[in-house]
Amino acid sequence: MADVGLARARSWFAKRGWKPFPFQEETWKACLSGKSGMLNAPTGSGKTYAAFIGAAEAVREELTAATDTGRRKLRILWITPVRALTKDIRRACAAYCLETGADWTVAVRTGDTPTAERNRLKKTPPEVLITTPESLHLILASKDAEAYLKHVRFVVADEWHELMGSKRAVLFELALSRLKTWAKVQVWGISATVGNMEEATEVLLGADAEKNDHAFIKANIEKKVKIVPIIPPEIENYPQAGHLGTKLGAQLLPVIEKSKTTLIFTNTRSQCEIWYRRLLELNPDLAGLIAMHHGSIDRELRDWVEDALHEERLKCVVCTSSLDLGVDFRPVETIVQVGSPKGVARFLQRAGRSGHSPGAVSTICFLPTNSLQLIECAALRRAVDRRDVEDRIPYIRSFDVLVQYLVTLAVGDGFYPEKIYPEVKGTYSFASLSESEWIEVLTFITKGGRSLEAYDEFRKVDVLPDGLYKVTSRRTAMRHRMSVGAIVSDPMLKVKFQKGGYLGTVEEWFISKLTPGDSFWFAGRSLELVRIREMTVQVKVSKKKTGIVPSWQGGRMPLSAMLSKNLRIKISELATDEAREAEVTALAPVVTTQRKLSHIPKDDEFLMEKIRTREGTHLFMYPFEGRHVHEGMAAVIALRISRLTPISFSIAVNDYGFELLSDAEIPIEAALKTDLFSAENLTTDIQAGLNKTEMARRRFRDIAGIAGLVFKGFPGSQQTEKHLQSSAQLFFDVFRDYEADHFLFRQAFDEIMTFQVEEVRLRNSLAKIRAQKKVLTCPDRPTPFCFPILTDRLREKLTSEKLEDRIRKMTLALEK
Amino acid sequence: MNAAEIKISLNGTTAFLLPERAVFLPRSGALLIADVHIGKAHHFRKNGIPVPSAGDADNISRLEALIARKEAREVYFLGDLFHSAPNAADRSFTEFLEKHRHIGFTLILGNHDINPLRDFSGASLRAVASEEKEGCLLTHFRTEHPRLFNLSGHVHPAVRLRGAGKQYMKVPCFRFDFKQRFGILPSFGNFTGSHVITPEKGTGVFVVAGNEVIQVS
Repeated sequence: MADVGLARARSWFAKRGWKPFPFQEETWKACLSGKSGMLNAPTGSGKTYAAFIGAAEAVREELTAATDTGRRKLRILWITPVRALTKDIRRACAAYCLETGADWTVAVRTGDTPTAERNRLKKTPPEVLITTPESLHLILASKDAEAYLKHVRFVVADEWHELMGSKRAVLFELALSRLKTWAKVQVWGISATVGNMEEATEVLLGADAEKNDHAFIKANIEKKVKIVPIIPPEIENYPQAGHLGTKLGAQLLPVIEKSKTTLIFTNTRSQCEIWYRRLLELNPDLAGLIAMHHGSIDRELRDWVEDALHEERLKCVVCTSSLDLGVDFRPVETIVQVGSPKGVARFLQRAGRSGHSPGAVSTICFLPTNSLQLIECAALRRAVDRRDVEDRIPYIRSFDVLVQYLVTLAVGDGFYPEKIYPEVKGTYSFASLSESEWIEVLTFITKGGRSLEAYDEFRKVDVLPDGLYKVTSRRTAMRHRMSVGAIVSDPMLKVKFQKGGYLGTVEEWFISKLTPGDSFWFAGRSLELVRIREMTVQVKVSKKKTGIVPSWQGGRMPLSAMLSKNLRIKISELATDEAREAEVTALAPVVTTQRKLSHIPKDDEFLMEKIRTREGTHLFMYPFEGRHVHEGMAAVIALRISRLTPISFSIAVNDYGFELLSDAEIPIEAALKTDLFSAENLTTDIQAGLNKTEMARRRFRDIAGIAGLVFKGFPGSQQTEKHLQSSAQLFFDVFRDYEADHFLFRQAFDEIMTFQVEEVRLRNSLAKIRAQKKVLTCPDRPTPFCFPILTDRLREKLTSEKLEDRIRKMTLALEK
Repeated sequence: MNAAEIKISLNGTTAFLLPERAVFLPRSGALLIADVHIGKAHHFRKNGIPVPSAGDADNISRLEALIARKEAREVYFLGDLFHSAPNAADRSFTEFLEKHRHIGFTLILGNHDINPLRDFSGASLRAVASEEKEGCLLTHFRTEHPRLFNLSGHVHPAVRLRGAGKQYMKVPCFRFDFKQRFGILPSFGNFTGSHVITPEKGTGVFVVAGNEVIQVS
């Protein structure tokens, strides 16, 4: 029977004049034999046809066998992390169905889908639904979810590498655990290469999956990557700190000129805006040929840019990670990466967006935003050659997501705990969930945790007489549906022209700094703020050429362990004059300055610099482990020094090292005589250090949002809703003061240990430092190494002084 | 006088700023307290947001400790005593009022006190829009008056302090202006948050730091 499906797939390919790749054939066969599995294939390799055709034929075969006809039923779920991809996937899937005679509907349901369309999809299910993890949970939160979803036979998780490193994967795992109970489901993941491919597969299939009964298929389509550094002509005069790099704009013009289409990747949306403007200033002839693409710009505008890219109407697009994923833009010949890509995988992914003709080489230019970053270019080159790709660490024990999921089920059909518990335990994320933790979570959603008071009116999930857990309050249900998801963001405001015309969104905090009449740059235009009404920012075109650029907040990405490792090797080569790459030899003047003022650490050396300025004593340390590890290490080192004497630190970090700054003398010489880098009591010290900094507080923000503590309110709601609004900060304080052993509160610290401090990495790093020779220099002015950290304004603090004593030394800060 | 308190003069009336985030008028033995937001945690809980309820109980025990320490004879709440509609926390508050029958309680209504008709008959809680007291005008919102010194709440003021070595700190504060004759009290409630203000220099900013009140401007 399987041969019918295979033949159909082959003949469809032949009709189009294509020849299936071996990995596509393999995937079809594995799907048809009833297997689940993982398809390891890069973007734009024909992976959609491999997985979709496999899924469609597997389902068709079963349908003929079972003669299960009659009403339309949802059979295949295609989960994608990005809404933008849904359009093209739908087109491809629908074409195959239509042209092979399957009378199927292929539909899309995402956050953008209008309510009327959602209702229609609910009434008449499509056979294939392309959706996001959040939308799938919204289906679970609706009435008759089981009836709707119980015929799903096949689930595909697209761009799994992207989902896997986030809590959205946990949403996926939980939803899948429900589907698996209703029917036998085949599960396939499509993923670019990650360092921990095996673990990625386990997370996808679940802890309860049969270990050896799945397929792993790798598409052997590896493109050659050519890395071209853009070297500042006068390196001495190039900024030592900074993340813009626009000084090198002129150097980019010939690159753009030479290739058919160029994609310029920036790391943030504001960089994107600034670069767009800068390129137009440098070459006004680019007007109409250059466009911008980032996540805050209106979807329609982005669609237009994407179409124009396909049709070769654009010479250049300045973008952010918003163009990392998705279908290929064939005309793209050159990629430019502005600033550090922070990881090897991301760099490779971006490089892969160019050079599509068979055998073509992907060309990626690296544009450093400060002189020292040129070393990163060499490090990337080494990592790419060796294909040193990062692991994606999966989230486990995300209680915030579990709380949300259980309420989702209670809002939908309701649930019986004894049925759900084994399902949840079957997921990778919650394999270690204990019975008592489970009961704690159930108590939390029904009784609001333990209550110390006699009269408590907590209401969320009710337990009905037959034991069904169900949300009966319509308001609670409505509030919950509005906050389903694992992406927590600041409130966003829409930007619109007075006369109509939607431009995109900005964060509330940015707009709150402006007053009407101020101008700012957005979507490549100078705009004047007219007024803010409800959730909309009304603007008109401004004639002013100046104006601030919104910055969208969002985590600063740390340098990955893979990239750090290669970076450390390159630094060591600098010290021993072994480096040969053009980008590194160009750095010679900077290297000379660093050497003259301080030192360049060899592989077996650990560099520390102590500098005195008007501000006090600065102590710099350079582990080269990425900002996350540095945050943790800085907290530990600061804590250990603060035990020697009452002292207050402000802490700054970057990917190369960290700074402890104090108004008083830092007794580092004395501290070095103690076991400053010891692994002893490390966990306790990290915890103590974290308690004294803001890190846990920031982590808790997301947890509180996902677990449904923070409620942003309905648009235009009344007073009573406002009374329910409170910041995650306040929740953090309340939990810390009254229920510090709460599972959500503990989760904040667990997540820091895994994702932020990366405890394992921190331990290894400290062990390395212990074995290294400590070199402490006292330069009389800032060195090239320390300068970027010195100028960083985002700081943590840690103190062992009494609050009253600190305040006596302080004065009123007059700006916010 | 306790060393941690700060003595000030309001139109000739002696007042103490207390580290408990309250003002004490020694002549009448009156405590002035702003923005307690009783029942905030319960209000959240009632609506399915599971925040620990211990904070509500803590508000009342801190209130009791303060009354005992200052041997207060009167208590004025400068608005937002309650967070929202009546809920379970009201009961503990009623018990508190009944326990302290010898004390005169007055509530200056604030924007959150949406239910002034709460039944406290039996217990003595007088609700008024504003009150004149020892040359001061007690209100919830800041109010200008040609003669009286205005004391109000509502803002939950805090300031950012700056120290050497790029140190910053946010602390709740009493915000006074002796020329324009007004003072704003920090919020008393423990689940209330604060709002950073940027006062002009030299007007009178007193921050609450642990067990002390410290003048910073």
